[in-house]
Amino acid sequence: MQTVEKRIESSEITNLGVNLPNWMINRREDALTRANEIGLPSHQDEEWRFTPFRNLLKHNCSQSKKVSLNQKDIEPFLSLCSRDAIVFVIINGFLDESLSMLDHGIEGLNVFNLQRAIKESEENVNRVDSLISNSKLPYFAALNKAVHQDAVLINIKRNARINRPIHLLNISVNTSQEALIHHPKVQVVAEEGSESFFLESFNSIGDGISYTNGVTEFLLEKNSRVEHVKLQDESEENYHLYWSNIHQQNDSNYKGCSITYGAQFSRNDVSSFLDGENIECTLDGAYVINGDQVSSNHTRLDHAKPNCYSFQVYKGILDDKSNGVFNGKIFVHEDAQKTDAKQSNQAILMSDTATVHTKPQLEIFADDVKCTHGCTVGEMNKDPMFYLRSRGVSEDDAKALLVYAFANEVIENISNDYIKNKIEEMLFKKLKRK
Amino acid sequence: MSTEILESYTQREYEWGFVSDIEEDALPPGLNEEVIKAISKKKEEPEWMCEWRLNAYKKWQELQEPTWHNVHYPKVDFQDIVYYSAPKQKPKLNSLDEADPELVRTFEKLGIPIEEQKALAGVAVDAVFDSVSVATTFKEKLHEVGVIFCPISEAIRDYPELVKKYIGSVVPVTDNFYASLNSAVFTDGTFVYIPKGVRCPMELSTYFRINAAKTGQFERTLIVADEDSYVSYLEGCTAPMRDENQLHAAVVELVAMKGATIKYSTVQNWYPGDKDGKGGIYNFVTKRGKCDDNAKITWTQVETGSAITWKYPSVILKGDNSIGEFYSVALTSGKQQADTGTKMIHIGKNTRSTIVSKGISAINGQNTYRGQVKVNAGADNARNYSQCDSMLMGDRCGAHTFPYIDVKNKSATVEHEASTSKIGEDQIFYFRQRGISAEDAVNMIVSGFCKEVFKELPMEFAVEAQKLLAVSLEGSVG
Repeated sequence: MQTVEKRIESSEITNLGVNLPNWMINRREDALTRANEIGLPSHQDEEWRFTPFRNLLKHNCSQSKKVSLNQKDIEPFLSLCSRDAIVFVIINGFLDESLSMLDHGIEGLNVFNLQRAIKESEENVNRVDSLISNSKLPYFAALNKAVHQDAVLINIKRNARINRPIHLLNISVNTSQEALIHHPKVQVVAEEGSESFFLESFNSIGDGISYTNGVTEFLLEKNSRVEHVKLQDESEENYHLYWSNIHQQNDSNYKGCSITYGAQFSRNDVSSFLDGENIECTLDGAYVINGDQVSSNHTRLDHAKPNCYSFQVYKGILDDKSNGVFNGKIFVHEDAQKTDAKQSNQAILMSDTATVHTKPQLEIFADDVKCTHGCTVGEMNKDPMFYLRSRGVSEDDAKALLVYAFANEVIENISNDYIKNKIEEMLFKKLKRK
Repeated sequence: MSTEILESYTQREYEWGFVSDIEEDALPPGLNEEVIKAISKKKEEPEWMCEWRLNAYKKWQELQEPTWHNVHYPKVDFQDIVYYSAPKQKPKLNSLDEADPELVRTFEKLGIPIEEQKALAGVAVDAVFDSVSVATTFKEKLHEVGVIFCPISEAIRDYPELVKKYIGSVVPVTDNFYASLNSAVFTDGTFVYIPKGVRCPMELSTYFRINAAKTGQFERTLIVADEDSYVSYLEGCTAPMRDENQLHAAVVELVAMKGATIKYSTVQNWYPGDKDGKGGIYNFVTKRGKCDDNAKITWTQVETGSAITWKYPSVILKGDNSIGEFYSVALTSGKQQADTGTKMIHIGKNTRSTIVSKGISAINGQNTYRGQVKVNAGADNARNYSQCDSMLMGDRCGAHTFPYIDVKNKSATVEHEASTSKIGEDQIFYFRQRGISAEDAVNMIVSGFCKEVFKELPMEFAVEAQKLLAVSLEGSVG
């Protein structure tokens, strides 16, 4: 069988130069067993049935090493977020202490790397870690859990309102000929009544082939609010795998938005477990791909308790030979009466060779619920195009404008204006890139 | 709604559960090449048909029983099934008077008034009792316009070229586990051929009925509509109460040539098992049609019976400008499980498809819609609209939707919508306030919910379908 990562010795899992507690070592070993059990994706696997992953398995990667960058290298990426951002730079999965604002001086915000997290906040690490059992992890998430070498633990204290955006700047660096893989991991505990905004960006430096296998986990305690924008703009040589798990308690509000521009292959799995009442959860996303890019987006919402709301809008814009997949699952458990779940998925095909597979999926076990999903696939509407052309707008500009209008339904929901404008700017750039 | 009414409503007993006492001519249970040869011999089939069956049997042995569906049932022992059973008297009749009086009584209990139907609706009824057709009417009238409407075993003997050309052309013997099994052991079914430019003068209808215990019924239906012809075919079934699970694996193939239209309607009411899920029919059906240029195929189904339903009437839109339609009402109550939907494969240019699926789940019923809309690269301007709505009654039932949408052509427009709802207390209140009982109110709401599908059914079926829903839902209001 082909492997993404060269054979992993169990010593690699535990010898990180960090004193890991026993429970963590056990769980890492268990996760490795789990990963080996499931094995790499196959088309027999319903979760991977439509994702063209052949290229993904082409390379045999080694794990990335810790590298350091200087302020100048990261400058272009800092502009993704407004100047008031509290920036944490994660290079090849390692939190870079010299570039990160660890001394931000903001009350109620604690950020640790793996070593310090274990020392100072082991309980929180354990809490987030046990939200989902290893036996439920898919292959890449299990791999991440087994072998990640560093992690970022963020703890928003009780009733803290962090009014500056927190920027988690992920950079994958590979200048070698060899394909490298790294496993960034972020864990967020948003305590009762807290409010925070995250921009999690993924970028790359160097011509080498990088695999990013990221895992981000959120625990939202009672009455907390989190807004989370994920922006992926890695080089088109890269492979991007991302698995995010959100666990929400009573009255919490999670608003997520996943934007995909880069990487030749990207797969996003976002799931939220609504484990309380009066929860609101938004999982939005947009992917804009061209060339040979593949983007596979999967969401899963578990309505476990009554009176919760969920909203999902996913938009795809596909040009050239690109290939898009969307699978959105909504599970309404037996007791989750008065659930209101909405999902919509739309894709525009801009070329004759682009392909889209979509599978919105509803599984409902309670009777007093409102669940709707809708999806459309089609080409751009000709009438507005004609309207713009008749007013002297060039074809390219008109196209860009219409696509922008299409994607904007997702982007405009981002509350931070600076980031919203930045993402729009990148969209125009991406549309004109070819 | 009060749980009481709901319960009294869903727990209505299966009305058509009785066993008629007719001597059986059956093969011993089990499946091997000898059994297939014996079936073929009993049916007086030509050599090529027997080989076709044996080939299918070989392919079947290589195939795995599918497990991807969202239904759960104990494993079927394929060696414990009787693959051939026929009423011993095998009358060839011109009128009902000549039929076995026991059989006629059975039909009367079922409420199939053949005589009345003859007179009233002008429907030719080819009643299949177990596996052999016993009464065929209106044959002569159809004969005048050149329409062939006969049991498939007769067609194999009398029109071998037609059958040989089209059988397996839409559902190949290797298609899936149950289709292969059917190809190997089918005992009877219906063959219809509509010649060029002919509009079939009446609705064609067949009633199926499983009778002998332990007898799997393997129907094979082949409908060929030649260029610019039109036919509307109705199929309806009821089955008596049984303790042991019975397997039903039918194959239906529709061939619509240039400009032809086929309407295929089904009302399915096999025995669903008792309220603890004991007994009941396993219904694993493969239905598929192929459209040439400008042809149109419409599937309409009302599925209220069976313990397990596994059925995806599909249309291959091969020709340019062809149209595929799928209208479905699936009701699962008690412990019933249904995994049903459709496949629309757009290959030709300007092809259009419409899917309207209504799922109703009550008590512990599990209802799954599974559909695929596939637009190939060459299918310019393909258009699809899908709508699947679910209604839940009770908090122990489930509704699942798995739509697969694969588009490889940018000029295609594909839309899918789904919603889930319940019968609102306010709606019931509104009815009650006007002196209408809760039960009637639910019936009205449900038939309103399903109206879009019922209006596609031929008149007499629409009436029957509404009655069936009402009966099946008894006890689920509350």
